[in-house]
Amino acid sequence: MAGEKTVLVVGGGISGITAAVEAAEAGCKVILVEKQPYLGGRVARMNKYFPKLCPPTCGLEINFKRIRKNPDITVYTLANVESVSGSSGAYTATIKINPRYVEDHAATSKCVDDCPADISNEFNYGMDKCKAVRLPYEMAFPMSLVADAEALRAVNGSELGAFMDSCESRGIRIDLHAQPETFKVDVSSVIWATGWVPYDATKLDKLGFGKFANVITNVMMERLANVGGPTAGHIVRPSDGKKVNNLAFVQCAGSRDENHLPYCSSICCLASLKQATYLRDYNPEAQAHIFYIDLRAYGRFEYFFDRVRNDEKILLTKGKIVNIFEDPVTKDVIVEGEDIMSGEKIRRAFDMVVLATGMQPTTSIDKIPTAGVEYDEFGFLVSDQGIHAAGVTKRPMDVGTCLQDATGAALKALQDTLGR
Amino acid sequence: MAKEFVAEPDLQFTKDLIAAGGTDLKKCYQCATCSVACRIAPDNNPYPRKEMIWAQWGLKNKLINDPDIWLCHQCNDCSTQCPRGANPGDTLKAIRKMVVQENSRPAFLGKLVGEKSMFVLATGIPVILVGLLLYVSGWSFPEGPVTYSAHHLPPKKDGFIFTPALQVLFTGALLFAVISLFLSLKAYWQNLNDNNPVPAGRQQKPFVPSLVEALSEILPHSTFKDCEANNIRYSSHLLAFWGMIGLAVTTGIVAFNVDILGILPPSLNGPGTVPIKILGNVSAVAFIIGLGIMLMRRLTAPDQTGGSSYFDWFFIYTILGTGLTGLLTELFRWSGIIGGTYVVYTIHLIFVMTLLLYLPFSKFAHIGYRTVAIAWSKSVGRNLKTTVRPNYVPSASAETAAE
Repeated sequence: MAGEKTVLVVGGGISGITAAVEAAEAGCKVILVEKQPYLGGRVARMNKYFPKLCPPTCGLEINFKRIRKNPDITVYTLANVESVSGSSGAYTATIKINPRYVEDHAATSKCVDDCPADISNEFNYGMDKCKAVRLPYEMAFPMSLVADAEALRAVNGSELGAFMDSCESRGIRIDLHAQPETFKVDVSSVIWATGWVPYDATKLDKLGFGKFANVITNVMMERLANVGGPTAGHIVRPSDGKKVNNLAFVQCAGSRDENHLPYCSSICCLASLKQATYLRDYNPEAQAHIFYIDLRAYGRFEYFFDRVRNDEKILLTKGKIVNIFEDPVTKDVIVEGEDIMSGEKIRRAFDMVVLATGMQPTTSIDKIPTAGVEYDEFGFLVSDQGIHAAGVTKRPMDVGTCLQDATGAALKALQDTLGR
Repeated sequence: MAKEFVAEPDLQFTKDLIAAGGTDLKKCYQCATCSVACRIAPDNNPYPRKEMIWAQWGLKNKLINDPDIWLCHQCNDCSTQCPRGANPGDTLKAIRKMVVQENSRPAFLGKLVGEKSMFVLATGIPVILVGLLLYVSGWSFPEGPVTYSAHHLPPKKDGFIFTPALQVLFTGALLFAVISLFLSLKAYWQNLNDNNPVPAGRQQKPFVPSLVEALSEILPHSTFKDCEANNIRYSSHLLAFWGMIGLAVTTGIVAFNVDILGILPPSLNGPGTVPIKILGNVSAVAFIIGLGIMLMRRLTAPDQTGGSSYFDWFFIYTILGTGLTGLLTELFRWSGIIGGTYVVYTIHLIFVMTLLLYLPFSKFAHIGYRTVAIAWSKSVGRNLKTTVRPNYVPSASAETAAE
């Protein structure tokens, strides 16, 4: 058996978590490294999965439980892998753990409320503010506070001192002088599962993201529809909080486009179909209009597509949206495209527009800090020797496929531990 | 689609389009970015998305009789924004070449001008014609100051070229070109009428008022201005266009003065002494600057100008050659290099002959086809604007995905 051999899993999203528990339950020791202060990655920020439309939290909870009860898994959050050297079967990795700056001896999140510093809430893609000392989100694992030291340091001295004293009195110790910790580990195999980032919509200069308040992206729509999101699940538009009655989805926003992401991210069509049901469930009067080049509902998802398109208030129009403008008075968003079926140009106003942006592999931005790995032209990992890709590090895929892929990666890692 | 349509693919036509510059047309995946990126395409059935699928399918009849390809001024907004690098601008350009060839009368001249392999023959014919002119006039340069026109044949030669022969040859070439182009355009107008039904509830305007409307747009280049990617083309084309008109007017007036009224040509009165000379020189400079900018842009920024095919290069060669040799002739004469003046003048005559003779077959023919196609579009009112529909609710059947 694998025995005392260790597998390093980098990335604590759904792929990394899956690979970690699968390898550990097969008898390996596992080190799971996550750069955020919590596990769950992009999936933790989803509202629902397609096609079952169940919330991701239940699946994450099951996995967190598997991690909690397994002594062979060591989880480091706020951590980065700085370098990996060696070869298959014998790697040395340098791990850097950044401080949380806060120790919650009382296991309470009370002090969050009176924190004098607000920061942009990146968990909600910057759509609202949160306290500089906070629980990352209500179901976070580990269920520990984290502090933004920089934001706290910007608070004036006496106010900060009073806040820290008040925390101290409640058993919460804030230490702004905490230092990162760096150490080396010897592992047999590495699974790289750093996932993806949403393509930067501000690069789509004709689509108005960042310029017009009511143009958002699909990942933001997940938060907007979520009860833990910035609007507590009310699908209202950012400019004035008006209930959205009339929503457009712009498919392939930057995808299948050699000027942006040349490939198809494969999940955005289904994500928009799914998000259209969010709107229809929330507001039965509302209408969703999806503009697409090709609607791609692969495999068994065809049934999901059929189900959604039978809703007469979910409209599908073939034709990419090319330009987006804003009505300066009403803040309505005007989309422009060609309806290919009728051959007429479209110029229509909507309350809000969702850009269905694609998935860009994190490895296209942060390469694996080692020699001898290969990427394709888009930054997806293609080599599979000793360092194995899992999930979206390999190619765009939905959550269900990530689980299968991560399980496969775990098997490959196990083979490495046996020296075969 | 109101009527049932049976596609009759002509795959050779697709191959011809690819060869003529539409190299990437098969990359198109019909997202319609181009139809919206284009700022001058009409809202009803915009181009070039539909042309791209017709080109892929080899729907020759649709493309050859499609007026929209001439509404395009090839600013390349479509190509620069195309997510696939399918370069719709280049495809439309290739279709325009095919339209010129298809409507050529006589047809073999279309092939002669359009095919790279025919270059020597195509450029050889004007050389031979001008050579004949020299033969008739006697090979020698006349004595004394530069005198282009001879009124006597050798041995009493009193100028460089025997004027009556020159008049016959060049007027003949011009007549040939004008008649050929006129017949082509007449047939083309008819084809447009036969193959493009007038939208229901709309009355087609007659030709002349439509032409007037078209010219009021063409002369100031008012649509050309709207292009984004290659906006400098608007200025350069405007310069070349008005420069050419200025030169044509100059040539016309001088020919009238000299041949009909018997007034001496202005070249004998020294530079800038008569208004006609100022017009000629200003036009020539505008013409050459305009063409020079276009040439430089084609050489240095092909991503914005689009690809350049043989058809483009042949036209640039002819028209820029005409302009440059014309200006050089004048400069040589001013500097007193008499022999050089006659040599350059001879080359200039060859270029002018090339330009005139191949007017209906080279890219130069766009001057006619574009005017006719824009007039046709005006005649059926192809310029609707869609208004923004707030809180758009479709009729029960119209919008939900077909099937």
